Amino acid sequence: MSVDFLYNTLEMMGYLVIIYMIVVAVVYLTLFLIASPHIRKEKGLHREELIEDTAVNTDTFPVSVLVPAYNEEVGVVSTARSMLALNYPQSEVIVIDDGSKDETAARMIDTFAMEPMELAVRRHFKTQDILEGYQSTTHPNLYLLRKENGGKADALNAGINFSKYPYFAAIDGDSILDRDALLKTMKPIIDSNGTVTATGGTVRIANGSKIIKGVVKRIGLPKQPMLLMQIVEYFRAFLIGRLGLSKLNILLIISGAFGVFEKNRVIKAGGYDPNTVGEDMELIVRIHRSLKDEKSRQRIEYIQDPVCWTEAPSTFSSLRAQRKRWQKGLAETLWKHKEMIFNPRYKGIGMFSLPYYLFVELLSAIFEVIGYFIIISGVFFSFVSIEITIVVGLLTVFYGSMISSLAVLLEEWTYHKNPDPKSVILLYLWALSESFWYRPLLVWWRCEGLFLFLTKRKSSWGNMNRKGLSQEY
Amino acid sequence: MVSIVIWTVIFLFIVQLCLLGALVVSKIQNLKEEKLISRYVEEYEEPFFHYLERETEECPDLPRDIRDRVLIVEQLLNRFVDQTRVEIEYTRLQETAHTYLARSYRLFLKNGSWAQRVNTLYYIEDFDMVDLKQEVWQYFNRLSVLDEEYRQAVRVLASFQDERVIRVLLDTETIPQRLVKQVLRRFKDDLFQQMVMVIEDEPGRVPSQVHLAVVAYCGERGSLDDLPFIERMLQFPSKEIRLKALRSLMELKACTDPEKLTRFYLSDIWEERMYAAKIAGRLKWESAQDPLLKLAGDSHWWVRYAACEAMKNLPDGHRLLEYTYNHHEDKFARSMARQHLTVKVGEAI
Repeated sequence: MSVDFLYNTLEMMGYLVIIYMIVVAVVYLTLFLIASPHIRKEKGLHREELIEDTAVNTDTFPVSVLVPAYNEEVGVVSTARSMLALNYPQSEVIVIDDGSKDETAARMIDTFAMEPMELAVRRHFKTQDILEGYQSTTHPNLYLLRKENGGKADALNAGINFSKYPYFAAIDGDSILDRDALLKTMKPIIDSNGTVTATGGTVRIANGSKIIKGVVKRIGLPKQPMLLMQIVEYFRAFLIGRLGLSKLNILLIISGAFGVFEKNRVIKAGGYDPNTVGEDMELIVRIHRSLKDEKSRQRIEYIQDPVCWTEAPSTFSSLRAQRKRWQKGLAETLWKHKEMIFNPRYKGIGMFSLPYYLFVELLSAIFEVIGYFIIISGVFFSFVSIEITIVVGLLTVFYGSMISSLAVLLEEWTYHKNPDPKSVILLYLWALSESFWYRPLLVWWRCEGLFLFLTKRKSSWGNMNRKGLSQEY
Repeated sequence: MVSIVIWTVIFLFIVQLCLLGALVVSKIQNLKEEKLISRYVEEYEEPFFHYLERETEECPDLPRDIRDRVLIVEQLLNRFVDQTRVEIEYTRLQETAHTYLARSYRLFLKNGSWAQRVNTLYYIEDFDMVDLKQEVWQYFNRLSVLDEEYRQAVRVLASFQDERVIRVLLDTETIPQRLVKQVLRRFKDDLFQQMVMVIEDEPGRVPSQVHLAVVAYCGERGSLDDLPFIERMLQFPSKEIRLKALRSLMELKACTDPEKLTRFYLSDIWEERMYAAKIAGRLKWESAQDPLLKLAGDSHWWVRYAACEAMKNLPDGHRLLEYTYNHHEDKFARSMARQHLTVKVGEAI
């Protein structure tokens, strides 16, 4: 009786996993099909010409660039340089040192000849105390705020309080922007005359590329398989997921690495929530919520151009920490806004987007663990019929490897940013191997993240052991 | 079931492999072509630029393949327009563009993809191909969606000083203010004055976004001839128009009489108080010391900020800021004055 029950349960779970994986694969492909006409339409468009007028136009809204930094002594100077080199008519750069224990502030003060200034800061949001403010004598639009440690969200809120322009860009301390990134990202806001309230662009992994003094000189691939897999993963997330959601105006994430926001809208929404590690997504959900509550016609848009370069974790321990943090942040956000899920009042956000993030992005780890469990049970212990084991195994490979390798092909079809044909083949082959080593690791770490959320353990700034993206020579 | 899944996965895998093969082959071809074009561009740049600068009358012999030739000329002319610091001699540029590009551009506008049409419009404007004006107008009349294609077509027609654009602006209620300003920037003085006259004569007929754009553009263009028009707009009942007029005054750094601003220091609308403070600062009006001291303690952060920034611009600004910091009854005014005593603002930023 108990053996039969075990067999039946495993078989039921097997069918559940099969249905789940097929449905998710169909959802992915549908999202891509929604986005592809737009990608196709803009293929071959000369983007430099597109922003030429914006670059010199007095109607281009001024932007405050916020760079929260915690123990970023390795990368903060090159990030600040990259921000100062942006091709944008009017901007200020505000680096917020969130109580770093290393030389983050000292490096900024020395490199940019900064001098102390008095502060008359508005308090849109309550934050940890600001200790000092500095202004660069060489770049008068560069500021440094030193504050008590309070986390990334708190640092961003402090930056918003200090900023003086109507739009702000939030950028990670370890990211580098293309020279035209801000123009390209602000363009939907400017063209829509403010109807677009927030935008984000595609983030790419910079490891392996040659970056000198904050400028990407040559796009290349890293040698470490783990980094190559992260590149494939980013393609998959941005090309297959976000573009489609954006076209339906139900995008829930603007990457924390780089996003532009209308300040008033963020103030109305209440700013970044310092009590979650997924502050970027949480803010977007709250903005959507406030837009729907106000019946506003404003929208959030995602631009397909790769504009931001970020340093990916290069050790398994830092990758594990990052993924646990992401998963926990996602779970916290979904939990906080649980009443929006399947709530018709929130239209696409409530009826599709949030359920998508719940079942596809958050709970896929659980379904995949069950899938691996069924494969092991079938192959080694014969607890599951060989038919179901084979089907689950094939679907696991299809769901993991083949969708990822499709993302590599799509990237090449749309942007063809890979330097040579060899890189495409290399990425494709590594993507095929995903299900056999990389994905099981991710699944396990994401389950750990869920466990962290369920046990309500605290997380803070992630320690990435960064090597720095840019050479200074 | 197993065989269906196995065959499906094998089928999808084979499709992917074919796709990979096709993409790799097309990438190899594209890279080859890109290399060829950039080699040609490097090779022809110097003689071609000599020709465009009229240092020689002989245009270099270009490759016979029409597709390559269009790409090469497009890149060379674009580089020439972007790089040339001195006044460009447009006649030679136009002649060259006409000889090598006009025929292809007519075809692109007729049958090209969306991206190709938009790129073509950018180049038509950059190379000042005014001989294609009629084609662009006909093509523009077929457009219905207000996207980048529509916007660029309007910009091209405006840069060719096509008067018909004025009618388009006046008849399109939904036209964005930003696009109107882009048009005005391209208009020469006579066309701009036509727009001003329409506003003066029949303000009710003009779409609000066009009205706002014209008032705002007066400040940007910086001509004191527009000062009487802007000052008349200060009396306009619409708050938005008054704000644009105030902003234009600030940009023009001109106002015939400080008295005209007195009511704005006391306005119920905080933006009007802010602009009044900014104008006083830009014009270095010593007579505005008292209103600025009052505005330094305003309930709105931006007004306090503008008042202290304006004080800093006055001839005796530093002393006034110190006075505000030490003696102002409002603590927010003292705090703002303290920040302005240390921050470098204004022209430097």
